[in-house]
Amino acid sequence: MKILTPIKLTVDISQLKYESSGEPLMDIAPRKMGDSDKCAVEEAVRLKEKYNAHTVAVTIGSTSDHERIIRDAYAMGIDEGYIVEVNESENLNAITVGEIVKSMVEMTGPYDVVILGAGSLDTHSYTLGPIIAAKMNIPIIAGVDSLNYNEQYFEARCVMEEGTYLYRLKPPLVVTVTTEVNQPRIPTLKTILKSKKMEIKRLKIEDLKVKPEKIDLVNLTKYVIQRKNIIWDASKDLEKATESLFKLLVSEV
Amino acid sequence: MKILLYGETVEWFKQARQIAEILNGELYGVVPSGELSGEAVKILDRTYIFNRILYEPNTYHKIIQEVSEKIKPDLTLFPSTIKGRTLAGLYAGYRNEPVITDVVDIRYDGGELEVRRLVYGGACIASIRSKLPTTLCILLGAFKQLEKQVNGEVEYLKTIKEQPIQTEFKSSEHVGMPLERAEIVVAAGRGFRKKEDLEMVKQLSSLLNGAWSVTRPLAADYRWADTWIGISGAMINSRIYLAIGISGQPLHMIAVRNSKTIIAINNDPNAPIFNEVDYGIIGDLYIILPRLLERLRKKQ
Amino acid sequence: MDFEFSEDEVRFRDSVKEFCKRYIEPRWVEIDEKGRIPVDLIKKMGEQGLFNIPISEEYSGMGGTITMAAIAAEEIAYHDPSVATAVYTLLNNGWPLLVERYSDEDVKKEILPKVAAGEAFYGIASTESYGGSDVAGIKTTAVKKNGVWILNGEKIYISGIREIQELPVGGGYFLVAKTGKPEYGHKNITAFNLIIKWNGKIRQGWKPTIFDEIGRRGISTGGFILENFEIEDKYRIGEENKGFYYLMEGFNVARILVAAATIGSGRWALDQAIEWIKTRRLFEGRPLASFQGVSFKLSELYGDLEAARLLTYRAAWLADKIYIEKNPKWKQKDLNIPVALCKMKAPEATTKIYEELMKWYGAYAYTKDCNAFRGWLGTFSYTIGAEGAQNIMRIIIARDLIGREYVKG
Repeated sequence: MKILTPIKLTVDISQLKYESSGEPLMDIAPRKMGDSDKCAVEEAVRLKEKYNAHTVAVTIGSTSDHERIIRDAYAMGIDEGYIVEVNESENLNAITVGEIVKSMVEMTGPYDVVILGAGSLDTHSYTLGPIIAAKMNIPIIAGVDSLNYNEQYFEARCVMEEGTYLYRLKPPLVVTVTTEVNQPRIPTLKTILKSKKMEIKRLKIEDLKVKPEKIDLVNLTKYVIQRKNIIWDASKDLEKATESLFKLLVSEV
Repeated sequence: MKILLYGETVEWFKQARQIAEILNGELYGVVPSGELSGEAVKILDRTYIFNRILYEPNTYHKIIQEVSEKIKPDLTLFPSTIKGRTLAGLYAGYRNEPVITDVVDIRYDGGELEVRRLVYGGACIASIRSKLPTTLCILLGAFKQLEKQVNGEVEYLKTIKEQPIQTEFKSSEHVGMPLERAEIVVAAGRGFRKKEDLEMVKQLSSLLNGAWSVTRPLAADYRWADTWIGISGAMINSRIYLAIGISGQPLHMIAVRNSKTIIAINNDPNAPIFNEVDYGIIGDLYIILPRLLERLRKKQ
Repeated sequence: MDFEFSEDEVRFRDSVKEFCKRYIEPRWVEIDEKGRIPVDLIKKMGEQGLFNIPISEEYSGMGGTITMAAIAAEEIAYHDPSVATAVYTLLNNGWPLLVERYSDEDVKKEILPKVAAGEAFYGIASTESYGGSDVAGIKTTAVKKNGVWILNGEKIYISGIREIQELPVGGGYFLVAKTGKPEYGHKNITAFNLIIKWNGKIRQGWKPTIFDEIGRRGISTGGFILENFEIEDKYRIGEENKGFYYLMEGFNVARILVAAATIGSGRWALDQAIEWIKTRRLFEGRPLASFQGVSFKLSELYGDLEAARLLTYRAAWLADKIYIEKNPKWKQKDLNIPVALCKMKAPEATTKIYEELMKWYGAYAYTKDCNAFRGWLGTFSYTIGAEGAQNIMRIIIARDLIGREYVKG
């Protein structure tokens, strides 16, 4: 079995800082492999351990941070890694990213399953997985929190608001996973040291014959919702606090 | 402008109607059969109804794609839920057109669309331009619901009798109004000590004619419920969000920030949620809730 | 001079942080309150490769460095500020290094894999009731008879007494005993891999007791009496009567790791302080941080902690050059001052942060709702003698600066 895990270098939104104008300071914001991508890598490595699969990771972007996340994937157990060299890869639109992955699949595949995080922590559009499925013209199961394989078909569980769905289908397919699917292993010193010596293959976007299209971003600014911030302290005046809340709820209902 | 939507709730149709009004467009929709389709017909200019098989993205997409090829829309709209974004991704991927999610505002100016979308978990807002045709996923609650009756045409699509991909479905045990349709959402967090104590939350939501839910730890870790707020990236868009015993961790707040009014009850004055509320009570929920419930019952 | 950690060290530190957030941080208060690091956590730490970091892979080590062991000790102490878990870790990183450097091949292959796996404990047994600082004055004796050493004596204030009994395989100590004539002073001490319990079997003649300590309670401290305790000669560490020198080597490494651990705890205390003084308001709603008496003090405390931290990692760097790289440019004596300095400075800088933190907390810090006292008591131990008395550190430094003839001790 051959598995591809596309991984994204995401902005660590918990560390985002802003100019006084409200513009986020993107240059200094730290970047990391997203949690759901880590879960995708973990899921792939588990399949490798159970079914002797060959696992491949790919990321799009030319910075040293991109190299780092491929090495982190190696330290978790991924066999082979690719970097697709593109400048300013963060501004690429989702369709282009999907085309790059499809092209990379054509060049290095075929793959039985493409596993990725359902949505990234920074842009959370949840569309990359489905776009890849569309470009590759194979089925997708999105938002999976439990994935099983029995040598014949995959069984994927998705919990949605109305209930739980269980799907069964044969490869090839795309699976996007939520952070509920597993708890990713933590690389050990040994695997970290080993990952440093492994080769990372590089592909140029020209070789993949994809024309990079950027998002036409006009403006990016802090989203401030001015809240009233009216606080009542029940330990000082329980009656007043409860009565105020009661009146508020009754008037709004 | 021709606008196509896919949808499963009346509230969404009405919001899409509002968008069509702003953009001066004709609103078409692909809708599953059932009571819902009757409502859709009242709101949309033309409704395409398909036989409601169990949800499975690839098959649902084929249905939407077929309709799209018939009418060739300029703009296609999905709700920005997990389902909506999955279907939108498939749709835009096959049509090779841009897709933008978490949209809160749309403007159409000189042949180009300018949309504003939430990004970085709702911390920032981005303005993006896009040429038509484009696919958008709309954040529910961002647009008003327009009460406009059109009573449009209906077309029944070829029936699909069986699931092409093997699908099983088990309804969730969570009883009560679905979060998506609630004007008021009451939520319980780790301030609650026992599963039985959630009764107070259920009663409160019932007295307020709203929905109730829990934060992720109460469902995923304690197993006091089988669904939680923010599951699968869904965002709440109610008028009132009442957070009880919830500290306000970033991952939770992403899912609720879009509510019009946020109220919190927590006995830790330093809880981060108090930075993001319109109204807050610092106090013990075990003292406040029973009093509140009594007050509400008396009023009734 | 490069004042940055290498990429390997940064990635390793991140992996330790993640492990601690997942498995140690949620349990540290319980570990201190109940006075026990759960055996399953020790096993998990072994699986994560947190023991035997500077030992070579050939002997089931992680192929890392003393600096990396210090990084691990620091991060673990940040997430368990009582330092119990960090102390457990540093003991099972520092003393196994001595096993690798000077023990019999078969013994290395026997002991080290089990320590790495978190199934056996390996610590230090040097202190006796007569004194800890005065190593040359120990009274435990070892007499060789037919290839077997027979030990009699007593050790006190030793970590790991309970852990050896509870862990599945067991464990033992780097133990020093008198083997030669008393006139030879420190040249008549021999070091042993004193295996107490192995694969469930406890050797005869070991009588342990456990003390009730006020801090760092997660790891046990106690003592034991040796009554005709027998250990085969192959378990001897290095040459007879050279034990004192091996012990000093071990203390060098252990003291660096202890300094790193106290710094991790100090960093936690500092972060708690910063959070508290920003949110705590008094006198018309002014945050504590807006009082210069508070913010100035914070700056001073931070400065002392940072200084101690740099001293610690400089000592770790030098220890790596000597013991891991075996670079002939430096000798063991070059470590005297760097090690004594970091062991002297780090616990003191840390306990001062705790004292100030608790003053800022006020009465709250006096209740067990506030966990600051656990970090304070845990690190305080290292200012009152644990792992090398502070005044011994002063003697070591003075000796090198002024000369042995002036500094008698």
